[in-house]
Amino acid sequence: MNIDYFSAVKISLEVGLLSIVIGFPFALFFGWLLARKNFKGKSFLSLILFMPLSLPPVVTGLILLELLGREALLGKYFVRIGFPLSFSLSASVFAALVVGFPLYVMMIRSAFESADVRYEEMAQTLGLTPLKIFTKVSLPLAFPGILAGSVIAFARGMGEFGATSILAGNIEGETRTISLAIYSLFETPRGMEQGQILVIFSLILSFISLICYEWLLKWHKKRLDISGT
Amino acid sequence: MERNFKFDYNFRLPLGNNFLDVDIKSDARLISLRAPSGTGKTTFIKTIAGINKNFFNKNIIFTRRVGYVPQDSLLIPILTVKQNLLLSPYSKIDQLEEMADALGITHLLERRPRMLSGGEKQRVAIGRALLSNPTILILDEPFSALDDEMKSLVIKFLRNWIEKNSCDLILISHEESVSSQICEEFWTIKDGKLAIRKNP
Repeated sequence: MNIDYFSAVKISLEVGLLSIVIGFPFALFFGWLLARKNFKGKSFLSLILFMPLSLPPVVTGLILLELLGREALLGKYFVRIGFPLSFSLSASVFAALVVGFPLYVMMIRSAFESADVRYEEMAQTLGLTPLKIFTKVSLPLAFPGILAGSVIAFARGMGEFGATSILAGNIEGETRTISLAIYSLFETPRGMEQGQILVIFSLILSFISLICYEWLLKWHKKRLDISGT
Repeated sequence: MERNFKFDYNFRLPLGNNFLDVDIKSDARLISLRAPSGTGKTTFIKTIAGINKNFFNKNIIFTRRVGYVPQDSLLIPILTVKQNLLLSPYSKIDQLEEMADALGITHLLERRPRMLSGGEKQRVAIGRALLSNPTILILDEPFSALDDEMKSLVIKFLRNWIEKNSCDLILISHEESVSSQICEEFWTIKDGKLAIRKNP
């Protein structure tokens, strides 16, 4: 079986990167909301946001396909505007985003929660508007933690398999990520020998992501002056 | 016609399973508040500073601009001392030099809070509150980490500043000598009620 290794790596990186860039404003908003606000329906919102974490990714993929497949009600609309959300790179990105989103929100929520809310209260007594408090105090305080969350969400999105394979398929040069390429090779005789380079590359990417994550968390704790670091 | 008092508070503050009843009318400008721990001092202070999330009353908060110095200073750790001092939109940069000089913190302006001692942090926090040009200053144990010499310097400076800027003060301090140097009326909390202390 002929697999384009370079293309699989490129698509994986694109999927991981695009999913965190597109998901960032939403993850930031919901992470901040859950960390800082108490409101009616907060538990229900958490339940909805974190549901993909407890569902098997294949099931998430099937639900997405039911909604966004080319013949589905929503899917037809996206096809009509020239942006099909199934069996395309956009579909891979969307599937990775949906599956990785709960983790993304959780990490950002924890970054906001680790910053003492009293700094924001202090800024409030000094007369800063809520927007200024967010941009001058909350966001800079949580920033390294938010980056750390993005790195983990990137790694998660890049390695996404179940939902991606259902919604985006396994199209060489278009939606075949490292995970899908390894799976394709695994199904062919002597495929695993050919796939070793992709396995090694996955390990390297995962290792780099985790090093970045650890370094960002240390930076986060240092900036917040959290003892024990 | 209804009289206008300097301090006119009448509300019931939830404190876990209990309440703190606040019914104060006073024309004194410099107030000392002393009460045992756990009686609701900080909750009361946070309420009039507008940061008690469980009790929000715009009639208490928006009538005056509050300068609040909390017990643990709460300097924003990612900002330099100078940035902390100028954080308020009401602070004026041309007052910075004089304020920093008076509080002995000029040499610390470019440092981050984690590089400061407890006493230095307290002086920066006082400077930050004063630079926000408040009409009421709330100080919660603001001198606890200052040595005696620095304490008298800061107290002298504060008294002058308060006088010059016609600012009112609520001071929480466990040191009777400090309160009596600055304040003219003494409040306390007893049996769930905030009241003026008759015999300071």
